[in-house]
Amino acid sequence: MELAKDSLLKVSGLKYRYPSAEDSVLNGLDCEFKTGEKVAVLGSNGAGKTTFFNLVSGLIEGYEGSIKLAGTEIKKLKRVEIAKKLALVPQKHEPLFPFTVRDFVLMGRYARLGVFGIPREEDLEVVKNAAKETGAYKFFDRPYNSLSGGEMQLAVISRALAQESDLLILDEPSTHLDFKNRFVVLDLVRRISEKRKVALLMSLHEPNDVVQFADRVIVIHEGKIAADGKPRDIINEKLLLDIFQVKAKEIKTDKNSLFMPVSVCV
Amino acid sequence: MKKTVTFVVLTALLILLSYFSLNVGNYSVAPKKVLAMLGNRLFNTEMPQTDNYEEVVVFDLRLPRMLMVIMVGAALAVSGGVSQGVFRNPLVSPFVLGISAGASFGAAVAIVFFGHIAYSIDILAGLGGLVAVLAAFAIARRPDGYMPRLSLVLAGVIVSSLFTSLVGIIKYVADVETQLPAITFWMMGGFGNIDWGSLDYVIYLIPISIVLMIVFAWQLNVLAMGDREASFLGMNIKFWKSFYLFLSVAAVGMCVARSGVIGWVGLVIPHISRAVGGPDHKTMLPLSALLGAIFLLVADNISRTITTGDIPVGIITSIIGAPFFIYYLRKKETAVWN
Repeated sequence: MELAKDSLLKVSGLKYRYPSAEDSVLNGLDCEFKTGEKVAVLGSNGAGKTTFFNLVSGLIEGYEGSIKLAGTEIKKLKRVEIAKKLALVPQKHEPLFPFTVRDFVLMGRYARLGVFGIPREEDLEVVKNAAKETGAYKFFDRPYNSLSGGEMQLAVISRALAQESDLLILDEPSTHLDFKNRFVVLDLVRRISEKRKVALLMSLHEPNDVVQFADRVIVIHEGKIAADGKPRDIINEKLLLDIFQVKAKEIKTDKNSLFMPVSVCV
Repeated sequence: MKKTVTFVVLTALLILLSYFSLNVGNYSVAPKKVLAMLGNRLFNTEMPQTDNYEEVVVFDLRLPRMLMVIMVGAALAVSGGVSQGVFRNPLVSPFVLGISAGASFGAAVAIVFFGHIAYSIDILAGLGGLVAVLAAFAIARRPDGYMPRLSLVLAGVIVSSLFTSLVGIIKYVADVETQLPAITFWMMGGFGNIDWGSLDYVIYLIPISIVLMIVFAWQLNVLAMGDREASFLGMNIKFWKSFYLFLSVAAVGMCVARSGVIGWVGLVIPHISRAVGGPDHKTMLPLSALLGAIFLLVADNISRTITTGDIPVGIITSIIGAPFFIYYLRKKETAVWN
């Protein structure tokens, strides 16, 4: 039996419709996330994964139901309080001004610095450690708009780590990355989660990544949670067919099963 | 260390230029005398033999003008840097966003219709600037909140041209003898009419708004990450955006009310500052203030010595600013068109 863990985020009866749209994107979602869990969110394009992330990080309001972050309804929390509990890694960061990676990661401390943004010794230490942990320390003093896609993702993750939150939300962390960097980033966040006891909530497109890097998966389909549980119990040929209309072949490996897409059923 | 040296050198340069500005002009006063007169005023040293004109020229014409030029240069450059950060767009400035045109419309309305009310020019210039920037913002922003970089520039062009036409209409109803020259002068920008009276309260308020924009520069760093990211990093973006927009518009409004529309300072100087001291607004804004003051002081000295008349300084800033910006835009490393 597992020990009872603290509830970080509890979502109940969550419904959301964009003001300009007719149909709801999310139509009654219930789920709970606990300390140190590594949760993948799986769903087709447009299933509402990003909307879900925006809602649970308080970036959009006007939802029905309830979203509780560490026990408090998220609507009632100030941005600065949310930022201390939850860090978000966006799908893509578009750099503009050539800040150094050091300055960029320091911005993760925003919620913990005063209005003048003068870092204390401990803040600089946190920033340095975050960059060392991801490997971004290697290009710490480079302007961050000169970074490659993989390096940029490491810098953005370092910034999120500098927030020292208990929950890390990653919106498609591997989408813009090549084969190597995809592994680097997913392996990194897995190790970070295990070392820091930080809960991960990440949307992934590749079912095999879910099997490999997550210990729980929730499947969002037609605005509801279609499945929630251990990846190896949930991801199977039938699910991939239902969600993605993809016929896939299961390939058994020593530990897990992997899935190779074979054809698309329309 | 390198930054400290830069600041010391530039401050020294500004002081030298300020002194130089007290010396140049149509009416020649011996530099030695200027120094001696300054010594007398500041440190109570012995007053040199002067005729009345010399004292009036130096203390009642050149000195207030020099102070005004420094304040306006610094305010325009800092406001430019602020607007580039707030809008996350290196192509904008108070001029490009239409703030200057809106403010000059406000000023023109004040001259023609409210000439008898004290400070009406300042108040209406500020309001006009605010309306202009909010209009540009509303035009450029798409329903989903995204604001393409060039859209904002184009929206600024639209708003500017609209306000410029409105000024044109006002010119028609203006009194040809008194009001029309005043408006025309405003549109071109210049310091020819500055005396101690024009400095009244702006000598406090412009520096205060510049200092406020500089001391909270960290907020601008985070704001420049974009609305969404600034939000999830913990910022109350509504508050800080309004704070910066209000201060920059107020500063620009006061500048326009006193010295007319002066372009290019707010666009070019922030880029130079970023190239010299990096993108961190904590360095970039104070550097912009210094460089803006220096740039405008040089331009103003040129404008009042190049001919026997007083060329509007806006003409000089365009002549220097335009080629610089072309060079900047064509440079590969700083390509900002996409």
